[in-house]
Amino acid sequence: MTDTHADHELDPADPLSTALRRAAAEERAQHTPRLAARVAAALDAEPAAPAARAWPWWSLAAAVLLALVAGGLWFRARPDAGGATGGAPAVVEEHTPALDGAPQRARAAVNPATWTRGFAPEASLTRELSSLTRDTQSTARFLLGHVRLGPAQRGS
Amino acid sequence: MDGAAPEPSSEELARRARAGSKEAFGALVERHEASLLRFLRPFAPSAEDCEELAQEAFVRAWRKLEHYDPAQRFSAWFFTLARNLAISRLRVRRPDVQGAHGVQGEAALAAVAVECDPAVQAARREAGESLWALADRVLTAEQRQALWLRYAEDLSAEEIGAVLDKRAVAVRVLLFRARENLQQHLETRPPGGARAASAAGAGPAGDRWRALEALS
Repeated sequence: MTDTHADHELDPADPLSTALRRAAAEERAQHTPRLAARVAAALDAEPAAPAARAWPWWSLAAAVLLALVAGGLWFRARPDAGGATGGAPAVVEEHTPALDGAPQRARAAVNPATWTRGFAPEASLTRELSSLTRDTQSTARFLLGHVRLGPAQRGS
Repeated sequence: MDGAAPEPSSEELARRARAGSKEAFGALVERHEASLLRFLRPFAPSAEDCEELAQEAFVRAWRKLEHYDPAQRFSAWFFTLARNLAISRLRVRRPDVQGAHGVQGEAALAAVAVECDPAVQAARREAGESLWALADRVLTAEQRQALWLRYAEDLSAEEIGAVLDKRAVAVRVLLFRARENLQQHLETRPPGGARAASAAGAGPAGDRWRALEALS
């Protein structure tokens, strides 16, 4: 290999340096390799190549565990879950075709001006309420509790 | 034109090995085995222990390849790993070795060096030792390791410092003293001794010593 880190003050071109290099090269050349077979036999008993062992099982398990913990934290902290960082639960606006117009119909049920003969406001209101979402229902129950329908308004 | 593909660098082999290629890692083992055995010699009292330690270092390198940055010199990373392993093994074997670095690490190396069989060292001396064998005999373990990393592995002072857990300045001092010490032993070596007689024969050892004779 080329010496890219030559220290010229350590490596003077004197006979001693030359002799040391030459003697080292001779010693290596005269050496009979005998460890290669023994090392190869020892390596055969090794479980896997280094690259395959670069990611041991525990690191994979740790990665999965970390992903689960991160997912759990995100799930708890998402805004609509009422997590610590999410503040108050947000109202989810869902478009449900069956509920289209339900608030309007509920308002009509409690508005005497819209009643016609034979109209049963309470039954109508109950029917409309049953189709509303829970939040809307609770609002409507509140309204029911405050709307007092007198006999004159019930129709006859 | 030479049609043979150039040999992949150690860094490229390490990159392939990291992707799971045992063939590439086998090539790395063959390429660095001799160097590692010499580097680890101060840590092991016998050749068998040294080979066992080297094998363990290679297996550990395979296991830790995912931490290797290909932008870094492979040998610097690998020798650091091997040295740390050797010191931890030494600590198990010798509980009095408390630390892996600094003075305690040097003391541990010195203790192991003493454990080496003097008869083996004397036999080496008589047999016409190589320059590195002379280094084994006259230099400290850290000086030998720094010298080997510099001249056999071509590592910079900063890289050697990373391996030996020293600052680059300290490595420069270490290398300077190692060279100086080695040079002194070469200069005081009596001319025409038994080794010179053996060096007069044919072969690389004779050439090596004739070349070193010219230094004095």
